[in-house]
Amino acid sequence: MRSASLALTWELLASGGWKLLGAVLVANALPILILGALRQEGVLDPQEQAIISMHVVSTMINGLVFGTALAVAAGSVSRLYCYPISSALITAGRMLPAQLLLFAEVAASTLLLNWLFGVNWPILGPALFIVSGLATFQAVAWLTGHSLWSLPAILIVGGLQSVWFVFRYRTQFTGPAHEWLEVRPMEWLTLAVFTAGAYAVALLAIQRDRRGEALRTDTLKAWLESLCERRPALKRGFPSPLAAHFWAEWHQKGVMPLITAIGLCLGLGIWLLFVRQADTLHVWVFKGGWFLPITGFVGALAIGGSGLPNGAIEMGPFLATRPLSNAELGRNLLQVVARNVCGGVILWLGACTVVIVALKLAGADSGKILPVETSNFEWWQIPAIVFGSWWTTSLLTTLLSSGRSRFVVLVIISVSLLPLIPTILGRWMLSEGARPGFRNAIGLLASGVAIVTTIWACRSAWQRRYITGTSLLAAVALATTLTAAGGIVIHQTTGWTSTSQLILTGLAAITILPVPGLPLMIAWNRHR
Amino acid sequence: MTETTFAASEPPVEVCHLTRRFGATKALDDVSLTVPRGGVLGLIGGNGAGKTTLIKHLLGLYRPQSGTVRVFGLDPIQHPIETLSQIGYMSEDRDLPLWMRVGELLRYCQAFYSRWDMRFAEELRDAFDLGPQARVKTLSRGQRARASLLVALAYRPDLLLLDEPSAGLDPVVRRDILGAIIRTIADEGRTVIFSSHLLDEVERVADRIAIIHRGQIVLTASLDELKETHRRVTLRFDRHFDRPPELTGAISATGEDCEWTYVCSHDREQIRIAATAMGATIVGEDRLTLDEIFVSHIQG
Repeated sequence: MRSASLALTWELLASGGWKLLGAVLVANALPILILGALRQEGVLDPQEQAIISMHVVSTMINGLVFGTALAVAAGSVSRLYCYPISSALITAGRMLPAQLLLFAEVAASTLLLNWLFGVNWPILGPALFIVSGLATFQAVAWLTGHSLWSLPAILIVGGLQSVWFVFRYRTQFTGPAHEWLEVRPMEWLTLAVFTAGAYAVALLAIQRDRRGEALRTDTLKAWLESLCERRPALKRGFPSPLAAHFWAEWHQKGVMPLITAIGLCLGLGIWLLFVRQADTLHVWVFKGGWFLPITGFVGALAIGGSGLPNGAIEMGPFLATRPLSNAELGRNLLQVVARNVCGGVILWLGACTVVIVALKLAGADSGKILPVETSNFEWWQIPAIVFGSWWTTSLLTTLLSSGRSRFVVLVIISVSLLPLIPTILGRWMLSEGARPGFRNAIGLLASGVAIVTTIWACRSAWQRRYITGTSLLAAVALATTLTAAGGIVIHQTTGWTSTSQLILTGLAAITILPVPGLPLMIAWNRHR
Repeated sequence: MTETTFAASEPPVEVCHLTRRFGATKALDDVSLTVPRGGVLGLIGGNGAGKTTLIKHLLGLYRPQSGTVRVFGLDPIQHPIETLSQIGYMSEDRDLPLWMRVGELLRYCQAFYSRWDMRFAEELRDAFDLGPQARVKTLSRGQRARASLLVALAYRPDLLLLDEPSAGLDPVVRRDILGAIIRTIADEGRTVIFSSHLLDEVERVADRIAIIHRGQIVLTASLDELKETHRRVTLRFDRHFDRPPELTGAISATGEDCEWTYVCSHDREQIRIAATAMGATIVGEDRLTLDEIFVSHIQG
């Protein structure tokens, strides 16, 4: 390498490799799927409010996914402190190549979507914003290090920047949306200030960290930690190994209720600052439930990891040498997942109830429990949110519990690409009439795979004694009940078909898949 | 689930024809090793020799690709509770839950072991100078090593596996405390296996030695036996040799012309007979340190 900056760029690309490619696929799979489906249905209108909102959300998801992959590829910045290079070069070497790559990725993704679907989404403004957002994220992350402030600081700064971004598309939260077609001088200036400020903060943070100094917030931190202490029964000990292990697991992995509570507070804060309309609060609190499956996705990253200091998902020797069976470790983790999902759902439903009661007491116009008229939020969405949260959290946790990063990446890429097949084939290879049948066939195939995988997992776990007869019977009974209940609902609403029943059975199967799946994956991780 | 009882008569460790590959690298190659109850086995070998891989097989963290592993007569993968509750393990990378406080770590670990001795644990905590309120993540590398050793010892395990226990420990702890603890455990009739690069420490503490090199156990013997059978002899021949003449039991040879020095693993009488048969005279002879024995075996 001719220079340190080139070496840093090469290192980012070399260690990124498949991770970056996988992130591109994951980030683009969802918009391609949705836009493809809308176009097939003939309802894709680029000027529609929902499509503009989708552009805003998909740009942010794209930035989040690819930005995360870049951060993972770059690794810990402290690794570079022993090299004979200045802190300014470390800062620039870590930020600039990542920003250029992110800009190229966001711009290329938008170009691809524009070319595929003719949505004419703007490129320059969103790409510049995402790049500026990455710089701010890196600066805040380095400034707060691994401290207690890291998550709140990132959420607050990220939240404020997101609000600024959203306002490029509308004049108020509830107002009509329009595309951000032109980057005005004031917007250039704002983004430049964001980015330059981020560079300055990042440089100060790296200089401070390089001197071995921590963020000086010890007293406040100690006080907050004393408030957050969750250390019951430590004076008299734990009643059983399982109780001790559950305490330790929950202490590290009980994240979903916390994230949900922060999200609810953030939403309420934004509503109080910018909106203050009763109907909007009603819609937001119910529709906000759709963040729970996303929270589950984020939560599973913590729950499925085995808590090694280097963030690896491979089970560390301390956990692996606890005298607990794989069945017990699996059951414990399943309880942690269930408690996380239940905590998040209860908080969300509680917030919905509080809002409904408050609106009624305040005599607001919105007399109905659900905001059906204002946002089409119907009853079926509540179980969809609950099961969606369970599926994302439990299935990703099960996958991550394998501790095999290549396997995890392979499965995630495969599952992300699977929905693209009908879209791509439907667009270029099938006639209009053949498309619904083909989509059904893909749905049936996916359901079949889910059912066969669950049966195989149950059989393997039973043979290895990772699951008791009672647990197996309970899981099968739950799946049967869900299938039957879903069948009855479908029969009474859209009409029962064998295809819908098989798809329902597939969904019921993946609902119980973590019961046998978790101990199997844990054993695969533990005994290498 | 059926409960498997712990067989007191079985040897703590029985490894038969164990082979393990990582890609193209053979980390363990047809390893067989039986460790009798009681005593201290020092497992020595260079970097990448297979020490940690062997220890991880004993813990059930690696599944044998071929061969068998038995710990107290049980397969550690099939019976993790029964085997792991008898084993105290200090890992090479000192993996501990960083967010816990030292006091919490003790309470947490106590829950897993019926024989956990809290008084002994507190004594060790004092000896290791670890405050109960200190978070594990704030401990230095050496303090973390002490904490790791503490939780491996506090339930007086029947089998103690220490993977490079000295790394990170200061000389006082290493010499006085670690040595004393290992000896005490062995004297109580329990078994200790520890891997180390510090051969003087192994020499001070171990009863038996196993040398592992490139995935193979090249030697197992008691320390006394090892010292008795290994010696350096210098032979003078009545003619010149370009290469060292073959001597029965020789592991390595250096020298030139008519004087060659051998490191041998036979007893003195056998070497004398072999030298006489070759027409050579023994002109020098001395015993070897463990360091020299180890180097001669792996450079052989």
